[in-house]
Amino acid sequence: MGVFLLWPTLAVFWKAAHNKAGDLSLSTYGEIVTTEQLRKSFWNSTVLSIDSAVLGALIGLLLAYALVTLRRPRWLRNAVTSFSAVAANMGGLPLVFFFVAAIGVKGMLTRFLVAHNLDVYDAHFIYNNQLRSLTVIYLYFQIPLMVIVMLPAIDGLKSSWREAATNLGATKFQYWRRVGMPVLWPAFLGGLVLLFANSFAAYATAYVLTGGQTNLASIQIGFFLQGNTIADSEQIGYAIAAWMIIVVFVAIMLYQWLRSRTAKWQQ
Amino acid sequence: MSTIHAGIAAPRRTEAPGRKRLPNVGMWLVVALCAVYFLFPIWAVMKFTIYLPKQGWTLKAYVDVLQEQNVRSTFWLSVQIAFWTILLSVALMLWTVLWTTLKVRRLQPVVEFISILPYMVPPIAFVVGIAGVFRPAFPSFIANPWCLVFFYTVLAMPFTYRSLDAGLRAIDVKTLTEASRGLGAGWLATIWRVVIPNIRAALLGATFLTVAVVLGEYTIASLLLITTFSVEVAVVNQQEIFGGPALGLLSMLVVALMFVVLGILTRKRGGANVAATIV
Repeated sequence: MGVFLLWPTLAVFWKAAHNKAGDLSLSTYGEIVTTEQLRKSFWNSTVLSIDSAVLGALIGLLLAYALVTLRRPRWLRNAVTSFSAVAANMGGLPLVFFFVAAIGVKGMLTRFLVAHNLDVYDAHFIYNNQLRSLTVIYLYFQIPLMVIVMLPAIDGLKSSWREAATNLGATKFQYWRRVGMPVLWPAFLGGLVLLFANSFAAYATAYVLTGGQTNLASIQIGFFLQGNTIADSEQIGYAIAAWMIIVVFVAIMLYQWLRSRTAKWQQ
Repeated sequence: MSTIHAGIAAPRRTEAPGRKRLPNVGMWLVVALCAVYFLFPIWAVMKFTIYLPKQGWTLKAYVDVLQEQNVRSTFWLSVQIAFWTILLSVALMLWTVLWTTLKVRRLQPVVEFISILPYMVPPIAFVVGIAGVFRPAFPSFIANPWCLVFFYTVLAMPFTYRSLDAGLRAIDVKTLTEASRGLGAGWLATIWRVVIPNIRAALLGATFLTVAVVLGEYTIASLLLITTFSVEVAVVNQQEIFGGPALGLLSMLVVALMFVVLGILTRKRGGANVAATIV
């Protein structure tokens, strides 16, 4: 454990804390911010992560709520949770194949739209915007992850609370405002930061899809490891990785803290 | 006060039956839209690989790709790596979890924190550290495919820990082990014949998740230049247009099948929910 996780991780921070001459300094950490292309890569990663986290969290919340409300076909909930377990873990190659076949240049939906004289390469569409198409694809594992996070939280909303609120004269809005939202809020926020971290860390999907053309932080790290880095010093690669660990670390700590607040209501 | 409230509540109740239908329609719409989003790409890739141009409906793409030597050998390699990863991570984690629940309860939060550390170091940053440490010091170690067993054990740790912890919480380990020890069984016999049979569902959950992770892991393997199954899928994808997607779909179906089997097996035992151990 120490050798195989902590040592490599600490080495990243240690090596990043050197400048080109090999002296100890924090200048390399700063170079990420001052180098145009690297700053842009972190900016793109952040935008992509926020977009896919917010959309994924909202849709995931709706889907989880729908699953709890709809009791009728019993198999529905089991089917969706099993599928979520698979899809949340999927990333990388199969995911890319799915979407290339569906909305790729020769994809099913693309050909259908083109056949109906729709201009799919219009600037507002996802086809011309790599970040937006990645957002659509990332949702494939983001939504299921949110469903997995939210299901226990929504199950934790006891029907007796709603009955109590109604008996005390609360309207539906008041119930959600005073009881439902405060209980679900930590779980929702927790899911949001978890999704953010998840998408920030993702590499395989973006790399395989665009062959490294999208300028994301994770893609830059991949370049660095493959030897064709844009920077002239190897410390830069470590510094990108170090910043990424910092971002993800903060997000996961936040998630853990919010999760402990959620757990209070789930007995 | 109470009369005012009763006044507000009463008309709502008469409205209720009529209003009930509305949210359900909305909920079904949500489920339907999600179903389209999630199932359409699967259908697209399925049709893409079994309806070949000029040949019509055929499983040729699958048959061809499964006969390739490299595909078979890398799949076998990944399966073996998965096997040793499971063995190593379960052995380590079972020992740790038992030790913390039985002997040093104080350490439980510490161990729990350590177990989620791998979530905080993304694989892409992790592999930078691996390359930085092991490439200069032990170049032959990370050139060997078996080194992945150790790194994948790290990746598998969070859910292995959580799954075993949940499994052990569900049974009264303390009483069980004390009873077994009292009857004269040694520690090994206690673990093997008392603890493990009781947490079979949790073990199975951890096992299947590990297999799913190892079969799908691309980042670390590809950047360490080790050709595992998923790296080979990417190679095949560049060489033949139908082979890659066919393999991708197959591997997803294999994982899905495992989870279905697991769902059936654990439902009987009322056991741990796999999905919950991921997060």
